[in-house]
Amino acid sequence: MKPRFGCCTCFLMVMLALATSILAQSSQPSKAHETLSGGPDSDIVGIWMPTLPRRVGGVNDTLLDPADKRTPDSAKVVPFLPEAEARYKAANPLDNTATHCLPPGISFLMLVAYPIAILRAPGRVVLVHEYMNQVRWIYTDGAGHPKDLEHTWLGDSVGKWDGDTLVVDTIGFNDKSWLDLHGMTHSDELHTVERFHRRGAVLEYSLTIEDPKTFSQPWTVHMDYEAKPDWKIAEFVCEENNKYK
Amino acid sequence: MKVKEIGLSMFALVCLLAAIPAFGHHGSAEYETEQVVTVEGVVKQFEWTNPHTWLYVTVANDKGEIAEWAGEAGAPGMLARRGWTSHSFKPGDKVKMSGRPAKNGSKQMLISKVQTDGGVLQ
Repeated sequence: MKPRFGCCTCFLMVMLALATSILAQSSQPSKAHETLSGGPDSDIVGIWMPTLPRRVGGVNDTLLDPADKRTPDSAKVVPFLPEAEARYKAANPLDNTATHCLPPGISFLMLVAYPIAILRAPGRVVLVHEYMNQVRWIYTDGAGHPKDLEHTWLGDSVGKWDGDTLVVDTIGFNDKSWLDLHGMTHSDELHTVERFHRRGAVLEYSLTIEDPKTFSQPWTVHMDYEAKPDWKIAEFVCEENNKYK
Repeated sequence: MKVKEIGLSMFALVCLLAAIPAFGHHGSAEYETEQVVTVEGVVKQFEWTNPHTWLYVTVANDKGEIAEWAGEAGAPGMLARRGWTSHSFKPGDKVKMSGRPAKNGSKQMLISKVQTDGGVLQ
């Protein structure tokens, strides 16, 4: 029995070594991830606040919704397919998942006026959103999207470094959330590509939205975030006192 | 991937941002856009809670009739960055509360500012 036990032990040790090697490989960061060519000033790590009030017209009182006075008709400028446009026009804003404390759509989450903390770890970039306590995991280990992807609220995000720009590809969304607050639905074929690039105290961001079941062609929005190094991410427990359930 | 850039993107940004206001949880579709209402009274209750804070004010009119107004404000995290705290109001405090009234005619508003003896919070 002893030799047999020794053989098993040896086999297990080899398998353990292989598994460790595979795990180590899968968590290897890219070179650009470790060394930013632009130096520390190009590091996207930090706390960032969308510059929404300034970009849409200089409204100082962020408690007031600046939107209603100038809301353009999204149906005229967003390349909706006819069915999606009909859904958009018929939607009740209070039917938004966020109204019910469920996760918002990815564009909603990225553009809403709440801060985001961006963290980096080997093989990962993590976005911690104050809004709704949401967390996005962006895998930069090169493994790519899983083959058998389960559809989820925020999808599956993989990132790669294009110089000091983080490029994030996300698929695997479910079709439950809205891309805005007014009824911009999407299908589970939604595909987004985001680019994050820091210039000093500004984080430049773009989001390309592609969904062949909702839009006739991909379209892109751009916006900036402002560095807020002294801020902390506050707690946001949506279910605490939601009067719009 | 063919991406419709430049001209569309600027409009699209405005659309998305316009549709994702600072008051993010449910937007402000249920409130009037052009009107501002101001009431004076005493604080009945202050709820320092997510997703939004609520300030309830008891208001008496010239005839002595009593009404209760509910004021909805932002999330505690964002308000704290503008000087609000969980102790900003206590029952019995005299306040002047301003904001956009509810479209359905109920005594509810989306707060733009609250004036107290100690100053203005907005």
